Amino acid sequence: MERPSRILGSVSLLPVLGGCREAYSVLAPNSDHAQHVLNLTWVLFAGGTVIFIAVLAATALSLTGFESVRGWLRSERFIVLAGLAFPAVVLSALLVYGALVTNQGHSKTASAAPLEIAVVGEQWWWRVIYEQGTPNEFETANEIHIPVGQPVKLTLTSADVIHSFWVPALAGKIDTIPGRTTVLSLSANKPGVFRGQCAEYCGGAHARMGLFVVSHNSADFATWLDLERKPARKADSQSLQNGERSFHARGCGGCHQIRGSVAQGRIGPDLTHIGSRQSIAAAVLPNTTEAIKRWIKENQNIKPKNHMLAFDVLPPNELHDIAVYLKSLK
Amino acid sequence: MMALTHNWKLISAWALVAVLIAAVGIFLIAASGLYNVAASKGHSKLANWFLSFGMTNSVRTHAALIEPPDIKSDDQIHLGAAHFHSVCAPCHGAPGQKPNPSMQTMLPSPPKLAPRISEWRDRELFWIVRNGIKYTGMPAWPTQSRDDEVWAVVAFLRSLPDMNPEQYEDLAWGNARRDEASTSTGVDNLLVDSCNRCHDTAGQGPTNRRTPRLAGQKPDYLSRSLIEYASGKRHSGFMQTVAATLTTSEIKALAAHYADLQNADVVSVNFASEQLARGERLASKGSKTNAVPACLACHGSNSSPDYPRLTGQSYDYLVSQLRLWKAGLRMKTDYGMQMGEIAQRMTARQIEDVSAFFSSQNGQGASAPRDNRPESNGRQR
Repeated sequence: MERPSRILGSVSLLPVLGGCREAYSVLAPNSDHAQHVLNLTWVLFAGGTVIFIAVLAATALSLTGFESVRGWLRSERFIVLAGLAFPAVVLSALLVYGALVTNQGHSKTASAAPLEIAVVGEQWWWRVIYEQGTPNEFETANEIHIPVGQPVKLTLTSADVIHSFWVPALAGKIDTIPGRTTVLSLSANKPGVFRGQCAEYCGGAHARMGLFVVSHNSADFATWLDLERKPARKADSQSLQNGERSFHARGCGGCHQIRGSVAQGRIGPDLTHIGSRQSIAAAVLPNTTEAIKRWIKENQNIKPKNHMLAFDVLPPNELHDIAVYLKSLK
Repeated sequence: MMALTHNWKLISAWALVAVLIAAVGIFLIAASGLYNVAASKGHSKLANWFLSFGMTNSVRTHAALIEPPDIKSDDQIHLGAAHFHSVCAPCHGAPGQKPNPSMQTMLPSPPKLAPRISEWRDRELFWIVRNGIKYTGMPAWPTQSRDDEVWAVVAFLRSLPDMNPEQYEDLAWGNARRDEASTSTGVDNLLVDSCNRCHDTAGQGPTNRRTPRLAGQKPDYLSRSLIEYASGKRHSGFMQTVAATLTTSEIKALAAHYADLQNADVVSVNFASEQLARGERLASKGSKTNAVPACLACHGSNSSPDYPRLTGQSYDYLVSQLRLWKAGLRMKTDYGMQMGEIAQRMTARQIEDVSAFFSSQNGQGASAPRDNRPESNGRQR
């Protein structure tokens, strides 16, 4: 008789344990702001539990306790104290504490000059623009690299419908709204790779719109920025040149940009350095040649109605060459 | 006073019996073969009148709600004439041409058309050509999705009563007679004559604005198009009837012939410079707002041999094909589905702008691609 309830209890813990994975979890904060939010969460959780137990106790006593206890529970004094004064005090305190916590993130980054990165939510990927508005502006996609300890200011908007930018380990959710700009300030505490997710339903493939935020120490970040800013690597072998030729001949440049080549399309993600990203297709596929091939050919099965064409007309050798070429663009 | 009553049960029982006897009787007549189905015997006068009466009224009723477009442009008469000559003249005859005698013994016999055209309205002619007539040998249009082609035939039919044999010959044979000196590289003259009735030759452009130019088109695209027409995956009443009779080697030879063809004729159509500028912008940069990639990314120079070349192509042809895609047609082939996806994102204005741009490019111009054949570009402005 006891066994089923024990199994049920242990099974119910599993989703919680899964959420504890380092890169993805609100329970593993990696920025000061996320840490403060987690502290607030624990305070609410613990406080809520205590109050819950107290209420249960009061209920139990009012049903089964001695008459003197029940008399006191009935009294006007108790109701005013426990029902009006106690909630008023506790909730006011929480209000002040919560406001301080959520403002702390902003005030911290307002002091130093933040690194500004623009992020545009698209269906169903993230356009990331560094140094927007300057002549050195360049784009990448589905991945944001930031330096550790330095404040980062993300200006977010959307190209089509409302999305929501959420990197649990670093900050809370913030909507990206077409026609408006929202701002998120964050700062990572240590180097690492953190997973993000779109948190506002934005159409069919909403669940497949993830992203990565990678934080580096400042030397590594400067190296990365330098590399990312450069135009694409030249194709230096026959097979890579075949792939490059097929890429342009098949019209991929109509939607995708590869800086340093004739491909200057802005409709889809920038592919200049796609070979060194954490993932393909917004954290949906691993970054391998096979995955790139699969995306080119079957993207309509993976994210139906996305704006890329299903390139199943490509002969297999051309598909392979293009994928190998793209993987080489590190 | 005793009211007259009927025994409804008895009456309906007898009616049922009568119907059953009639049904059995009809079945027995058919089973015994007593009824003579010989076409050679013809219909009785009464039967003829009744069938004709029924057909006329059926056509009039079913065509009543059709809105005809303006078919007065004599451009489309060329298109209708060429098709008429291959497909309709064998049964119906033509000015200066007797119909095939064995077609004439069909029942009902295909009528001589010139004296009969005035009996029908445009929309009724359209209905007949598009749907055919039951219980006769009059076929329907090979595809039900190309009304634009049927209207070209109607335009021709309308001009038929006033046509003399010389005019008919000229219309029906098109460039095949006009450009006798057209060179054909290794392709049977008879074979390419059939194409030259509508399409461009070395010295002449296509006979009408709707027919695409083939000179200098990519051979892979040409053969694929013919194969798609032959299999019925790509819909065109005109082209399906032509392509179905071609063998694979003929298709290859024709594709090679047109790929190498240099056409000296250039049709200049005047477009406003703002429209051309808009078209060029869309063709070279695309449109981010409705996710339309730059056309030249796939249709420029150095692009895949599977994508057709668009420069110098007929404006009306480009617009009509893009509109077919926008209507959800031309989506049964692999490449058709690809382009269709993009065309459906385009606005009506973008379709016109970009067609204007490409049709004005004539092999030269700012962002027009160079010829991708080994010889240099010999196209004139």
